[in-house]
Amino acid sequence: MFSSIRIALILVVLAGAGGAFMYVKNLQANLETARANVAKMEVALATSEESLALERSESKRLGELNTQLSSDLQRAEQYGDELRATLNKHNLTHLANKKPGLIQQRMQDATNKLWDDLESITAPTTGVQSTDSGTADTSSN
Amino acid sequence: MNDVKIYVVSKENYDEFVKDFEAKNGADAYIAISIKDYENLSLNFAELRRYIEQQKQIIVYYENAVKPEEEQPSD
Repeated sequence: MFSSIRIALILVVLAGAGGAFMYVKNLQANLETARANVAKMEVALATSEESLALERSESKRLGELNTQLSSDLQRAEQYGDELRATLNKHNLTHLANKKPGLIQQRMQDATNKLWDDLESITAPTTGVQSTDSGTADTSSN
Repeated sequence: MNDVKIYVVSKENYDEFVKDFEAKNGADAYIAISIKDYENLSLNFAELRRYIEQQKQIIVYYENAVKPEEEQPSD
């Protein structure tokens, strides 16, 4: 009878040990999975942070470019504003009647400057410019 | 750009202008424009100039906007 009890106890101990072994194995597997998941999350987090930093720097850069563009667009209106102010300030009809020679020279200079400016702003800004380009006097005068 | 010669003519210098113009151009036909129209022509050219300059600035803006960032030098 005692031997039966002993055998039963041994079987219980062995079953407990087997159960514990399986439990620990399962825990280890779960831990490995959790570790792998944590590593993946860390990579995802790093990628997200990198994207966020890039987006922030791009947003800042585009903001600066927008400010620069607004300033440049406003500066382009300067010539017209100055011209309007000059035309409002002077009575050209009166001046042309009184001093045609003087007004003619000023108009000629302003017109020549306008051609130069137009030529300048329409010239290519990059690359090699043609050396034979420039003002050619084709006037018949 | 081709040169354009401008004459400002009033009663004071009309006779002199006709004589000079004919001597230089060989004919006495010309295109006249009033002072007001000359002012309008100037303002129209100013508008064209503004438009060209602004288009150029917009092109520069887009060129810079799509330009890839320069890589940091690695030591």
